[in-house]
Amino acid sequence: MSCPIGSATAPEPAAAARAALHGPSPEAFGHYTWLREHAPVFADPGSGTYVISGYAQCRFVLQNPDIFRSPHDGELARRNRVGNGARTGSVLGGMITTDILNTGGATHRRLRAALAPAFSPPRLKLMRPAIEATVAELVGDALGRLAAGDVVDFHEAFSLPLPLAVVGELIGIPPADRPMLRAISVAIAPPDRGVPGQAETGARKLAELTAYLDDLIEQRRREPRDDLISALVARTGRDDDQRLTLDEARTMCYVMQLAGYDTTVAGIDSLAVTLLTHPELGGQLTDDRSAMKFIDEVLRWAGVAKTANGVRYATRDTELCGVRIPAGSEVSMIIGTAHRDPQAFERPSELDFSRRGTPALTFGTGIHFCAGAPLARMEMMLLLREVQERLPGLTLAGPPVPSANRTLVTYASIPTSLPRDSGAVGEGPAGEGSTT
Amino acid sequence: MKISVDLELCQSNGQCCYAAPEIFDLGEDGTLTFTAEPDDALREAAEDAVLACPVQAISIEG
Repeated sequence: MSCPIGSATAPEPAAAARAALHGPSPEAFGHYTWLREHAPVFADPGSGTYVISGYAQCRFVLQNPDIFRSPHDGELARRNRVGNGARTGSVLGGMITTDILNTGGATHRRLRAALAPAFSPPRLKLMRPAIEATVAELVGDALGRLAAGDVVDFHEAFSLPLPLAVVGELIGIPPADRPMLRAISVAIAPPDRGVPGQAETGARKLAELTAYLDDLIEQRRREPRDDLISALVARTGRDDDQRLTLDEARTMCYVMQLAGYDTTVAGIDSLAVTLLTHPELGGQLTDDRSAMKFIDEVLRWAGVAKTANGVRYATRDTELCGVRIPAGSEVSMIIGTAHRDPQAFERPSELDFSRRGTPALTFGTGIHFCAGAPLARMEMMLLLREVQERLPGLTLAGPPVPSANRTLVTYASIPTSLPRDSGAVGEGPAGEGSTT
Repeated sequence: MKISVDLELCQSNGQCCYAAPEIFDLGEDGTLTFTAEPDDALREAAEDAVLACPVQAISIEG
């Protein structure tokens, strides 16, 4: 692990850290590059948080849960207080005692073991046809509108509905209930720091969600299906050390819904913007293996998982990059800029699909590595490929509009259109396009 | 080349199966199986698997 010589002085790094953490996505890039170059481990005097922006340092924190533990729910709740003192509700709404994101040790191992079968390669193979069908349907719908000359928002037409369907399918949420459940989740854990009164709304919505999931769990207990809920319910009936409590099973469903949605939406958005602005890269999607490399490299390059790995707390006095971090300190990682660290990636601002050796941290690393990473990559690949095959020539109809988000690089809209002379238009239901 | 996996650390993330499908395989229940002494021609893939493992459970000897 190598560290720059000399240390940065406040207030510039503090301003940079704040801008990086709270600014809209593209603007944040400039700020956090400065921070990484001058203070890859920065003690922010304002918040008391240690902001980590070097790749090796981020990786070290994530791979050493004994030194840097995950927060307890109470800590998350405290962290999310807004400036005027009103509580926004914790990220997980306070219902959680043992959720997989914020536990360690034996409990975490037991929760991970309950989840692993849901993402095993044989399982993903079984899920693939259903995802392909969803993708084909979404592309078909968009094709009709594009062929009629409409501008289609890629974000709304693809990025939002696909993860909703895939996560719903994985967990076992009936299609008709998915939008409602999604709306409840947003109310409980808003994407940005909440507004006063949100805690009360959140608590009410949380009770609704709990009741809904308990009903679903009861249904699956009576009639198990081939889905995650049924697998988790089966584990509540075990009498060995792998038994789950009802609370844990319900929480897992909720967390999977939350963790599998916004992140995947953001990933699809950045992949789409990259392909629409660099159509020559489309050749990377032809086979599964090069498509996976393409996806990982674009997600690294675009810095999608800006601060998505969350915070950690030092369990003891420690030192990182020459900076002393006292026991109990909060540590926040800016993965987005760690991914542009030249110490870890040669020519980091270039897309290079032949990179080997340094894994990106988009899906994390260490014990909290994203369990759903293979599923997310697969749905991204299947969508991009179908878009490329059936909507050739799809192009930006205007600049993509970024949105402010604390944890992910996100877009509000990505307007696209199909040129009249595109090969795809003639296949559209409207049938009025020329194929020449 | 000899592959060893610390199964106490393994969380069945499956990253090794994507990096080196010729060596590693995850069953439906998430149980890992692997070829302990793969052909040397697979060294590069094996090294990718070591790096890809989020919990650093894989090591290569020889």
